[in-house]
Amino acid sequence: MLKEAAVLEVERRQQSGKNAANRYRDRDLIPAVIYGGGAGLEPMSLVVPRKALATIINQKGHENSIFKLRLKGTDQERHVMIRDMSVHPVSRRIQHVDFVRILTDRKLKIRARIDITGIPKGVKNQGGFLNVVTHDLMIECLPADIPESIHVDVSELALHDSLRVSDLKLGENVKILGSGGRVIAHVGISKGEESAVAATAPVAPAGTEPEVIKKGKKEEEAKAPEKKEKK
Amino acid sequence: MLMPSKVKYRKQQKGRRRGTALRGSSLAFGDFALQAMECGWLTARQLEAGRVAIQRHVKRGGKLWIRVFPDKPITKKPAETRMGKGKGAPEGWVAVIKPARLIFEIEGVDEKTAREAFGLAQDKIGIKTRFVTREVLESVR
Repeated sequence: MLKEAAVLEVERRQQSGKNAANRYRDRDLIPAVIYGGGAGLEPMSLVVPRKALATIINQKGHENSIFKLRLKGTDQERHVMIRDMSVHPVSRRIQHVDFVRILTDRKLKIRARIDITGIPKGVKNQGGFLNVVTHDLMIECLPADIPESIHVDVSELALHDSLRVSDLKLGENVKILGSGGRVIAHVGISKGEESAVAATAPVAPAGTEPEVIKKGKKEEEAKAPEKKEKK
Repeated sequence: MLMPSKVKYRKQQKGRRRGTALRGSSLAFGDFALQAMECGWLTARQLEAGRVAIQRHVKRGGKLWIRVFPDKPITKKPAETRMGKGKGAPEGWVAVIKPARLIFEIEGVDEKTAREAFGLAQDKIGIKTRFVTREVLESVR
């Protein structure tokens, strides 16, 4: 994975603040920061070309892809990973990126995506439906061992069966963090229309008013006679 | 229809809907969702109509999540009433929707069925919405 790392050319950011960041965005440059990588290395403010960054991110398994940052005008290169990213919720335009420097000999804690394959027996033959409860897992491994995704085959699951984290086998190099009892996928029965609503929220007949919590009123009533007495 | 079981105050002020939804804008339960593209009030009646339309289309397959809750009371004055004399009586409940908010999520159905079901729900909801998948919500520009 590290050998084929893509290279992204970045520039040092000279200005900081909201207005400067917006001016960079207008020029198709994304404000970014790089940090981590052991003691003695200082964080640095950067700007990244938007299109080049979006291309890397939109590739499959982008969350944990490691690539190189090259500082423009120098030969300095660093293996990095995206630690955090701000994206506009409607337009999906990148607002800001956090890069973290990667040390190839140090283990990382990352979130790996779960890739579900197969159709469970319980869905095929027994009329159930597959409920995927966990979509990603925290794992610990060396940068070279980062899996693109965790492949999980659910084809053996019958009705009311669950697949748990403890059932996964990822090899010796990858350690799963967290509880082994956590459910990844479950085959259940789809409830009828009415029961599905009951499970989601309290339901009241139309036109009725809910109960008003009277705590505030009691306090007011208790205070009111005192005022009258003063008069 | 959905409404709170207990409230602290019977009536609320109108409020403003500035900005975009930050919470409730990413898929938490299902694989497909209906995402609001503009702000507005979604009444309990509209939500219920949308839910019924989706569940009738997918029949017994799949699981549906309603990601919004109508917890804001709306009042109305009676017809042919002179202005003044206080705020009107509570008439219904609405959910305040901002752009990017997910309204429904579904799991356990294929994309085509989900798209058709949400298409029916879109007609029942008075605000502009779009169909989104996990890939759409994870992609960037």
